[in-house]
Amino acid sequence: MNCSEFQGRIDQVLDSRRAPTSDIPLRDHASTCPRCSQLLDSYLAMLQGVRRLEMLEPACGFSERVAIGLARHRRLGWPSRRAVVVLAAAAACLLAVTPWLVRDDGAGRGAREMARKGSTTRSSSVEKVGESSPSTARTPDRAAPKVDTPPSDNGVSEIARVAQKSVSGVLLWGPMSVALLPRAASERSGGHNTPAGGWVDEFAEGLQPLSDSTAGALDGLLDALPGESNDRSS
Amino acid sequence: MSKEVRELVRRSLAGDETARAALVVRYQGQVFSLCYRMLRHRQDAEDAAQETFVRAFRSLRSYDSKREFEPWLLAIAGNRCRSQLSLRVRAPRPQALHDELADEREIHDAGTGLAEEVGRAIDKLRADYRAAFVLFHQQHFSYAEISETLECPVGTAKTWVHRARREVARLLVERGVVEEMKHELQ
Repeated sequence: MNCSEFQGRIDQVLDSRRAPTSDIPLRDHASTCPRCSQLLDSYLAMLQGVRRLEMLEPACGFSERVAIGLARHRRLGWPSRRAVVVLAAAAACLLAVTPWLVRDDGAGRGAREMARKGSTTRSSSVEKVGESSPSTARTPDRAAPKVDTPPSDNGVSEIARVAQKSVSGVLLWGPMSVALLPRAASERSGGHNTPAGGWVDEFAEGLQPLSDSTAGALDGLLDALPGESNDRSS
Repeated sequence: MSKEVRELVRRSLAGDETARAALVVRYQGQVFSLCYRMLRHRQDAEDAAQETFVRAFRSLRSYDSKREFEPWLLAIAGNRCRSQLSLRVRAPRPQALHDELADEREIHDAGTGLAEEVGRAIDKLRADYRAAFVLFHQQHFSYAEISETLECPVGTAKTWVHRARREVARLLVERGVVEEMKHELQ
């Protein structure tokens, strides 16, 4: 056996949970090679030290703390999951109806009407110009700058504004509505439920502000909403 | 899995609190040791160990009783510790180093001589090497069980244990422990 085989052999012996000193080839080589002899000694020291290492124990009352933690989780398990599901569904519904909210919204309607008015003005002015003077009808660019701004402004910004309001509303009011659910349930069950405050606080603590990537994704989602194309087609 | 553990698991599933407490008492040392070795922070290790048991009891219905209970439980502990470690990387606490040093003193004052030196060397290992080493040498897990616990291939578990051994042996030589203990080792 040479020195490079020695290390592999020690690992093999230890993997099979045998003592390295019980392996004759290892012992023989170690007796002739001081470097490998030191390596063998270091492994023996390691094994002895590990054997003497005490199994660490947690502080007193650990099992009681586990029981308390388990009881707490059992109380929170379904309601908190239900709250998350309800919040997610509410957020999805709000996002889904956002284009229709915008359509029925007064400001949105106003903006669309402005846009429509602008486009009709443009078309009528072009028609009129076409009727009166054919030379100017070939250059409708003169009227264009006045009416180009409203259509680009009406759809996306409105949707973004309403969606942002919806999302922030969900984030703000979600935890509060979650707080009210179990409280109401507790009142119904005669106060046998646990106070909602604790886990609602925990839930609220768990809420993180939107990260840049999430905000970016949300912006992308808002851009993809059908509102703008609907407005343009109308 | 021993008959006794199987019975405790069955009774825990039936809602028996004393069976749950018995399972906690039986495995708390192993779970806490692994958590402490991975996290090197007593309070974090206690939290992780506590969460491990809570999660284990919550998902006991999904536990396959044909499998060994110990690796399954320690796999949960390993996952908890990995989550904690990744949280630490994302949001390091300014107090962490101080706590760590305090904890190190606290734990190592309890040990003596060689065990203390080996404990110190283990603490210097990479988290995955450390966990694999402790599972193999302290908890006497097989490589298959280590791979199940640490969710890695058997070959990787083997490599981690081998590298951890070499590193611990090297550190012991560096600190002059081997020379000092030579008479004891003969």
